[in-house]
Amino acid sequence: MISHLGATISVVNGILFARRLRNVSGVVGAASIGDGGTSTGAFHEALNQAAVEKLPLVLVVANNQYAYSTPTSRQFACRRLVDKAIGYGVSSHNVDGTDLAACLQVAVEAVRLARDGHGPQLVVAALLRLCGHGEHDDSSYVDPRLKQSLVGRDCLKVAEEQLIQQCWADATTIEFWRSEAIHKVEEAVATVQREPSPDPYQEDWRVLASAHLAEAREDRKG
Amino acid sequence: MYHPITPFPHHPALEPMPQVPVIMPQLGESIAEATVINLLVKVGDNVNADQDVIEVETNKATMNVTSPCAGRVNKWLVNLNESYPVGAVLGYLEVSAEDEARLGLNVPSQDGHRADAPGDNGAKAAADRTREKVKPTVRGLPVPAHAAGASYMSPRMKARMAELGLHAADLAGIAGSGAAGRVTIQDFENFLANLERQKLSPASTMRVAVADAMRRSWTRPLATVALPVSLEAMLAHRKGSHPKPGPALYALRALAIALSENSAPAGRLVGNKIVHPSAIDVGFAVEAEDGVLVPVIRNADKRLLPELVEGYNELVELARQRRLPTDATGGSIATVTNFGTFGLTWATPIPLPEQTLVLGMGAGRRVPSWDEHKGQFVPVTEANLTLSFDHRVIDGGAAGRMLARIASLMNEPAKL
Amino acid sequence: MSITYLEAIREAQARALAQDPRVFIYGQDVGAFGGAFKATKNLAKEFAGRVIDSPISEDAMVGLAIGAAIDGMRPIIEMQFADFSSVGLNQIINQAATLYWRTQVPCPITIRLPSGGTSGSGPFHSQSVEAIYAHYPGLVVMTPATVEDAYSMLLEAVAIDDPVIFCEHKYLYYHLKADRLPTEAVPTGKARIAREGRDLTIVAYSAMVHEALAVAEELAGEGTEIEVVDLRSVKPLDTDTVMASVARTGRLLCVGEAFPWGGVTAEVIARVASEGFGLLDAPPQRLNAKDTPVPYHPNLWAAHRPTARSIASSARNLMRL
Repeated sequence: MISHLGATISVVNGILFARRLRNVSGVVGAASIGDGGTSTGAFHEALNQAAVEKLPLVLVVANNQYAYSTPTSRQFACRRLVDKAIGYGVSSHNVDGTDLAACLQVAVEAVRLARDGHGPQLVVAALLRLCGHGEHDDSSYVDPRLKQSLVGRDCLKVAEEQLIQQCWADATTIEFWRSEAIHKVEEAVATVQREPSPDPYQEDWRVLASAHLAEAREDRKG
Repeated sequence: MYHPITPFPHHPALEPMPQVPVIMPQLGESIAEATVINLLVKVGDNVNADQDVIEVETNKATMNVTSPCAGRVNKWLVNLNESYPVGAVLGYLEVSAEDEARLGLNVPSQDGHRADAPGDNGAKAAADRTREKVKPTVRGLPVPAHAAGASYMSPRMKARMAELGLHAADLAGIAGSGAAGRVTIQDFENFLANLERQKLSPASTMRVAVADAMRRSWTRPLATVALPVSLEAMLAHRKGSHPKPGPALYALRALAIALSENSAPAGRLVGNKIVHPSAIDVGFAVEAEDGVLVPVIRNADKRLLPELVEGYNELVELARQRRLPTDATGGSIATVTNFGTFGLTWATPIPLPEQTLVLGMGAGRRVPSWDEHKGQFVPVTEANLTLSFDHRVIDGGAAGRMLARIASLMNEPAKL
Repeated sequence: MSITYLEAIREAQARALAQDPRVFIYGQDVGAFGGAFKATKNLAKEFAGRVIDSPISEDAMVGLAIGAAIDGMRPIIEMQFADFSSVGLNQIINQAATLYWRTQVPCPITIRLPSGGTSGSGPFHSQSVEAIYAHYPGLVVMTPATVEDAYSMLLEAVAIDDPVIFCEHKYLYYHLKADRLPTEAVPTGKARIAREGRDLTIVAYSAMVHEALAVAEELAGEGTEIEVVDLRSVKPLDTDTVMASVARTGRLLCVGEAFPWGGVTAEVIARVASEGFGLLDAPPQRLNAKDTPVPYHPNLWAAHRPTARSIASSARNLMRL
């Protein structure tokens, strides 16, 4: 399973379904998943379900070429991952995931189409995972040729260049964003580190929202 | 109101004529199997309830297996001159539906399966039916080893008895209706309810304490040896003494001296070790109100009889009034009891739980005794000395020798 | 007028749909077809757009229910057979059951599982899976045995803010009838003494309650008074009522239609043995289906799970112990 993201797609479907039942219009849902997650049964069932119900879902697949150590050649057999959309009967968009401008364009388009009632939009963005699957993983299995190719570009660097080129932001602003982001992360870390740890003896160990249905005796909770 | 639900349907193929198995019964203690030597009825015959249907032979006797109810023999599953274990299904009878229901055995198919134990919903493999391991009788669940027999007490029994402060000894004689004769909680509650209908009087604390001591003492194998002994010497000595020593005191001193010569008989057996006494402290039984107290004379081997008389009498008095000081009780290694004061000539006293020996003295009687020297019977005052002992620590021989030594010491009272 | 267990389930759903606009039903063939067992017959018509057919996707069905619940709805998922719920197991035990624990957001979904065997249904249409769901913290597991409980407990399930696994028994659908629907109900979490007795306690749930009652009737003729406890819900399990019954009788037989290993019967006995050891006058016993998949052939199926006859045999044996 590795990823729970396949299972969460149908949850988004449920929210969209509920909004529709309550006649709330103009709603769009978004879910994201990796290339590996597209192999799960949950992905299949959820995308199929969204297609059958014609839900306004934008499903973004960040295809970073590897699921843990598994390359995409071992993950699916279609020529392009985005071709799966044909089987589900949904619209698709293929985009260079390292290119901010291209991604913006595709996102806007996909959301518009979904909102306008064209059903689920499968968006597959190609990029490369530039670090390990986790901290412990040195990703030495990654094909070095991918690192040298276009898909191996650092998308943040590409974005910076584009922002400056398009005059959407200048170097100072970008630097400000960067330091602001660092600051936010550091502040969040500091806050959390100062929070007290939960005390197992003070914890109510409550698993049901309905308090009256909890098993009364402590020792039955294991 | 409820409409009764139709029960789960059973496939018609499962419901041939109602059948009941003929089962190898429990033929006697420790008999696990028997050999079929004769089929007394054949397939198709009608039988009555309890009619002899199969003749079997065990290593003890030839006996008959009887039919569990009236019916018609449907099939036999046995071969002549082959052995089958207790509980094995030997054949089937076709019976009425009432009989099948009454006999309460689940018969899911025709293949010689035995009836169910709970948790196992039907047939075990039919393959092994003729040479199965011996199992308990079909109608009983396998009773766990520690549960077999009348001594098993369920957790509920134990809890209830703890609540009431009772011991297994209190239940002796309650008829048990449970498996292997065990007393069930129902039997127990009925027993208690019955008690309430009879005359009840409170038992004193003393009584309860003595009961507990006797119960604990009785867990050992106890035996008694006896020796008639002439009291002439003792009586003569006593007549000339002031104050007069009680007869038990003579016995006490004799016992103490005998033990100082050989203390092993008063040792305690703990596991595989005999614990020798460190001091010859001897107790003597005094009847007090609703029970018996045992004051102790410390180092009884080291003091002569005349020195002990006053202290002894004092202790007897204090005991009767139940005012014994603590240092005068406990720690004795043997006890003397003069049951002769009740007129008894013979008794088997029970040693205290922590002691191995109790020396008893019966009532003196004038009896004819053969005097070899005079060539005639002469009247002699004689009494029985008894020595009751824990047979794990000493045997009859050692007990007898100790008793003989005590008797000979009592014949020289001046040396006591 | 008499109403069947199945009709009671349909009535409960109709009432829920009528009284609460947040309720909808989602399952395979539940719409125009009315459900494989007709539990939703006519409901799609009566409540247009709120009884929806799903693709054969148990994982996505439960996922959708979870999402809808997060957004404030009260979905009822009909699994066509309890056996199929295993395809959605990940969603049930990892997403639904843990949602409140992880996020403090309640997950008020109801999943209906047509459970239990009927002759010829075979291994994939006969299972009783309540023990699997009871094992996971965060789920409520209901096992109604009566028409009244099928009705009132399903209504309660929809109202409960937590995921409820509602195990309805397929055999009881058409075979169990009552005169009328209840107007009041005992809340979930309390077991019911279906029959009073003083000699032996049989703890059962769902269809086995009726087998146990038949056994009690039979053994009453032999002078044995059996007390039958209907658990009603397997989680929460009303241990107090079970314990009180064993305190009265001293003998316990627990019966379940499910597989033996770690089932509801094991849980009941574990609790009685550890918390009520001193109440037992005899070793507690349990009777379950065999430890094999449910057989297809009717002969084997009939011998696979407890019946009134095997329960009677166990009860008699327990009385003799």
